[in-house]
Amino acid sequence: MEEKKTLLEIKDLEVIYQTDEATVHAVNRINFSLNEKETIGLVGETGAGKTTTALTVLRLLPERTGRIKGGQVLFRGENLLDKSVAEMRRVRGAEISIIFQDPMTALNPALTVGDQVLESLEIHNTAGKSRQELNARVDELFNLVGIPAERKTEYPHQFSGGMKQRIVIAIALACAPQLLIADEPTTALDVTIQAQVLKLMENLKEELGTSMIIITHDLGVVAETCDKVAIMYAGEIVETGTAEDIFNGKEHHPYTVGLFNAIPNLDEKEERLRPIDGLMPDPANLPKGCKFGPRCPHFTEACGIEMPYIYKEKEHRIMCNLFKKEAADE
Amino acid sequence: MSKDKEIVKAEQSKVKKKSRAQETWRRFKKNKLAVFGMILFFIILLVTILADVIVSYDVSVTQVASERLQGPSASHWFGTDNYGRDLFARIVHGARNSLLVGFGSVIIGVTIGGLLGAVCGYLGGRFDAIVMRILDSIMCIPSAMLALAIVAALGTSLWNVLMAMTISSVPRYCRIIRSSVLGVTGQTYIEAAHSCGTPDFQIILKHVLPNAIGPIIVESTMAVGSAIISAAGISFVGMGIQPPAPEWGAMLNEAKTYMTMYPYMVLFPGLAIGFTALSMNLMGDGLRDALDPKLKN
Repeated sequence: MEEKKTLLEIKDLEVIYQTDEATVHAVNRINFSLNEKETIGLVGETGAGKTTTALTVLRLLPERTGRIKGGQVLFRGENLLDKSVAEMRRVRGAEISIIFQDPMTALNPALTVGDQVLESLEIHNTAGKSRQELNARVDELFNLVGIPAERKTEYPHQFSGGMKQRIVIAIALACAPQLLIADEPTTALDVTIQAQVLKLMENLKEELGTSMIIITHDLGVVAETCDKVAIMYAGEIVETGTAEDIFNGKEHHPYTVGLFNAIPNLDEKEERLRPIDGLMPDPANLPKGCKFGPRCPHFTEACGIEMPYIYKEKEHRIMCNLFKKEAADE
Repeated sequence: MSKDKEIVKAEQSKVKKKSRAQETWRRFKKNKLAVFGMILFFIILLVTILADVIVSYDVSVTQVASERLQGPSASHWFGTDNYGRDLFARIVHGARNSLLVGFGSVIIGVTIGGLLGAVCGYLGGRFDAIVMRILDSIMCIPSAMLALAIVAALGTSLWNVLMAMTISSVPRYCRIIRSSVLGVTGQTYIEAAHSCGTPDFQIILKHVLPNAIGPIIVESTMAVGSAIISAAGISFVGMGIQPPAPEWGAMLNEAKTYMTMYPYMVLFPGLAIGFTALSMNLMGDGLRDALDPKLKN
């Protein structure tokens, strides 16, 4: 088997939002890595720190409140957190680009969609291509995402939601980035369009060999598209592994189990879905020890005192004391 | 073959570019009032440019003692003033000064105020606070007083009046733009532009301003009329355009004394200012609607 090259590695990343009233611990020492041509899914409920992680990779945290307290974001071996603003600008869009959640607001209503795709190309036009070449590339991109190139002189409001998301994808792909971050790319779209957009992204990934981080709370999306999965809870990655590990593996974090229980299953007849009891802890005031402790059905005293045990098997990692016992038993 | 294709494509894109302007024109045309405003404005502009062809400048400044205070007639269309100068000639030649001050101060003021406001609203923080406090302190002084003080300090000339009016109007434009920019900077497409590596100044020019420009278009078209009148105020106290050079506002002020007996003396300069302001308002309204991609139909 061919040795896979690591594209992105996040080490001990810790991000807080500092306001006058409180310190919000949005991301707490997370680790994950992504190889070239791989897709990782970041899954978790609202407020788990998924988007914060994505914004940190691009250094787009809100300036006044967002602070990176520690850790490294290694992109092709270089720490993005050490880069200057100007260097970072060259990375954004050209090497790493992001697709935002809501295509309705992600496009500038006062510019034609063609101009918006062209803009990214112009900014990163280091090869000094002529205007005609760039325009040809715009046409190419429109064809790539399945929109007739003649429509590039139209404005965003003349497109449907799904088409807008395609345009957003075209902008993100304009400079053929190595890493594409998709922040809930399908949440704002209806189900049929979701499938189209996912299919498009999957095809593009195969064609262009782009790595992707897909942020979602939809496990169905993850199952369809991802090679690796990281389940986030309260700013921590509680379980990570290959898609195989997560969907077919035996061992799971209680939170992952809870997530799966909350998905309707067509094969089994069940009256009600079983949601996870309780609410996500306030990230400004996180519980000690295991963050999931207060909601966990397997909660023991030890869980409330120190950070939980990390279970490891190949690429599969679970942060839970449940597996500590088993390890001790053996 | 491929070259042919490229040429065809290039031609197509040229056609498209043209059609966008045509599209704006098509929508502008629909608004009958705006078209009326535009025609009116072009007439005023034409008169201003062709002033010397229509009537000699000498006529506007020559005092004919025997023809003082005559009402409108065939020889003096708008009548004559208290020095026996032909009012029609004075209005035609006064247009140049009035429009220069009116448009000049608004255009320069909007440009400076707009850019400053956009940068303040976009950057926020310390820069914003410092600039806004400076502008606040300028706003404390009544704008007419400030303009007078500036002219008094720099000396009387048309250019100094223009500059004084510009300086006293900048804070207002700056505030208007800043507030609409604040609304725009929170939008996702600004963040999206960031994520593409777009430099800040380009974000301001391409993404922020086009979306924040609406209120300022209306405001500035209306401001032209009031700028002409403010310039008249400065002329009135003897610090603006020096007589006998004609200027609409100054004419109004000169006519003030004779208003009850010879109302046409205020009527014609007043109408000239009024029609100019009206044409600008109508045109500005129509232009804003025609340029707004969201109202396309």
